[in-house]
Amino acid sequence: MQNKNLAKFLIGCLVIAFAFYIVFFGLEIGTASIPSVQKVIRYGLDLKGGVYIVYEAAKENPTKREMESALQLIRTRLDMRNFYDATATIQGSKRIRVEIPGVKDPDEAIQYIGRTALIEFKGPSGDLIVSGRNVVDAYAQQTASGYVVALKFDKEGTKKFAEGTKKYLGQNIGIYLDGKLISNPVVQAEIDNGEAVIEGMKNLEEAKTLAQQIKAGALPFALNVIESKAIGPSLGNEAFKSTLKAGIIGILLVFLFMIIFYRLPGLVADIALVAYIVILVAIVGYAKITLTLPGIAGIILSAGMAVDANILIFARLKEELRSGKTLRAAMDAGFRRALNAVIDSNVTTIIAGIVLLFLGTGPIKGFAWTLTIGIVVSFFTAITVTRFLLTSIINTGLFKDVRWYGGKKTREVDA
Amino acid sequence: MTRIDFIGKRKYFYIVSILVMVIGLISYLVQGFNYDIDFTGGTVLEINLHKVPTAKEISELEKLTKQITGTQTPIVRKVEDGKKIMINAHEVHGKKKTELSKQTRDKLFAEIAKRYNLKKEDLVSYQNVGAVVSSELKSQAIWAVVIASILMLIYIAIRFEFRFGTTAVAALIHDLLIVLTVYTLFRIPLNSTFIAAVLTVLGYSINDTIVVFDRIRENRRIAGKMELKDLVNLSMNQTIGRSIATAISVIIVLVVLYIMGVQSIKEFAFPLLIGVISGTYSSIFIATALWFDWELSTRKKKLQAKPKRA
Repeated sequence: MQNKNLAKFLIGCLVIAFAFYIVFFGLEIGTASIPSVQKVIRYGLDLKGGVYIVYEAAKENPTKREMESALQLIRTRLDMRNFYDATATIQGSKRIRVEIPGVKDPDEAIQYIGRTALIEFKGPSGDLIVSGRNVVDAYAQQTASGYVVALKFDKEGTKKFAEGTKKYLGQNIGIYLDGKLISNPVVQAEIDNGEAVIEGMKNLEEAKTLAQQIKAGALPFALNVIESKAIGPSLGNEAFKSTLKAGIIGILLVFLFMIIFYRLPGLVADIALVAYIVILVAIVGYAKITLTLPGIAGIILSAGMAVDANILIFARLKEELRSGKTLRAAMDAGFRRALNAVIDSNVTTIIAGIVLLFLGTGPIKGFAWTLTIGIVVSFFTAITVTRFLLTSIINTGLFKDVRWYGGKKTREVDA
Repeated sequence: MTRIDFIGKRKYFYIVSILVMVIGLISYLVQGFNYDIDFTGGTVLEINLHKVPTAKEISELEKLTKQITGTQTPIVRKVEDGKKIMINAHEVHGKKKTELSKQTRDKLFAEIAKRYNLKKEDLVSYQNVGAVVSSELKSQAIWAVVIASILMLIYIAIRFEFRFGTTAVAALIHDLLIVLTVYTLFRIPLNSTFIAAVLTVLGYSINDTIVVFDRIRENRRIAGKMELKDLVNLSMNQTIGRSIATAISVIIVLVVLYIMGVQSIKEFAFPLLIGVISGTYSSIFIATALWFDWELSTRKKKLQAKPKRA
């Protein structure tokens, strides 16, 4: 019985230590590998520096489809400039937020992104036949000859395109995107049905992207910059390092405090806290939640709150022991009677976190995420990990003196 | 177990809280809030001066900013280790205040660069905020507090009773006012992290209050015909150890963050620190005391009503 419980306790600790190792140092077995969390974590702009820009549609009530094609346009433009780690998201009903890490000058980025993609059909001598302003629809298609982008012109475009294809029969018509030649097909026949096809796409993905780009070129509204910010990378780096260091020192001090104040259960709580940190950091890292400066504050704060659930339980345990119960009975009663308070106090804090999640933007959202997830995880570890470890260690029967549990006088208690 | 008569001394705690709030109100009337760029709209430039500017230099920088941008009251403040400064400014077009144009921004930095012999990368960062965003942020902050309070009130009313919910939210508003006092008194800039700070304090405050209320609820069930005053005092004595232990562990983290953190973290940690202390204080001395007074007055009314019927 003794040995079995001691083994349980030690295995529990080992599992947590192993999880800690995997999350913070990564793991490689043969070809399979789990990257360490530092490698996958997505840092917010405040941590790695860069530029963010918020655009607003210059139109009263843009439809969801219009917003999506505007978003697609911005993504395409970012990709064309090789800003692959940039993000663009729709905010609310008429805003788009663009974040570009590593870029220093927002003005340059704004100029580049702000323009709408313009598709142009030009004759061999460079004369304009028809442009994207006359395109009403563009979509990707798979035909016998491969992937193509099919275009539909409006009335005016149909007329112009028919004239152009008649004039340049047997010659090349260049298709330009923002002045860059992307396709140069030979006209096989006069086209007067208002439809055109761009051939030579490598795959469906490429065809889709081009279709989106062309459609975006016909975007019915302009985008206005309403907010922009540039953050120096040195500042972000400095801020991140000092905050991380402060967090580690703070949490170590809390660990010490718990052991001094609650002795053996305090130590168990510390182990459970390590489990809490591992789970929380793993979720933030692998679920790609953007980590911001306030986000780190949220993690550290929820770690402080995580201690609370344990303190509630141990305070009860102490009381039950004082009333003369046996260890196991005191522990059961401690957990049971603390549960109501733990649930109610956590739910109310989560309510605040969720409200923040819905109403906040940018860095505040990062804070709300870490706080909300942190509370949920802390609740889980307090009632499972703490309980498992404490039950095992009490059942070993090695720690019978009440002083192990924060009692003042030496007194033997039965397991 | 230590026996402290919290309830008997509740008048003193009411007085202390009202005093702090009065100080806050006076500070607000005299110097208002230090609205950051998030709330006013405009531009913030962060510049590395490589030296700590004197008070005279700061006022000269403010004069220069006023001259170039036309901002009536530009704010220049030291950040980080004091060798960096932040300048809040806007351009005035008739009645409208806007962010600085690239030309104005470049001109302002060039002037400062000339005086302090700076390089281009010493303009560490800049931020433009439009007036639309800032007014939205303001209403966002108020809505977040109102909605969170209502939802928490509903939850407590369901799990406990309406009276517990109301007094818990009253304690929460108390903490909010204390935090606002800290913001106006110490001229901490009100920006988007302010909302995060306020909501965290609310979350912590209600968390703490719930634990005390939970104990009263439990004791009321098992204590039978105990005097109300004794019952509340007993519950508070039982929970005060835990309240202090939790507060200490959160305070440890926040103090370390405040000491070691960068400016933005400092500005965040300080009000949180005050908020956590206030939250712990209010859950013990304000929320419970208010609940007690309310409960007592209803009981008295009932007692007065009974003999009449008899």
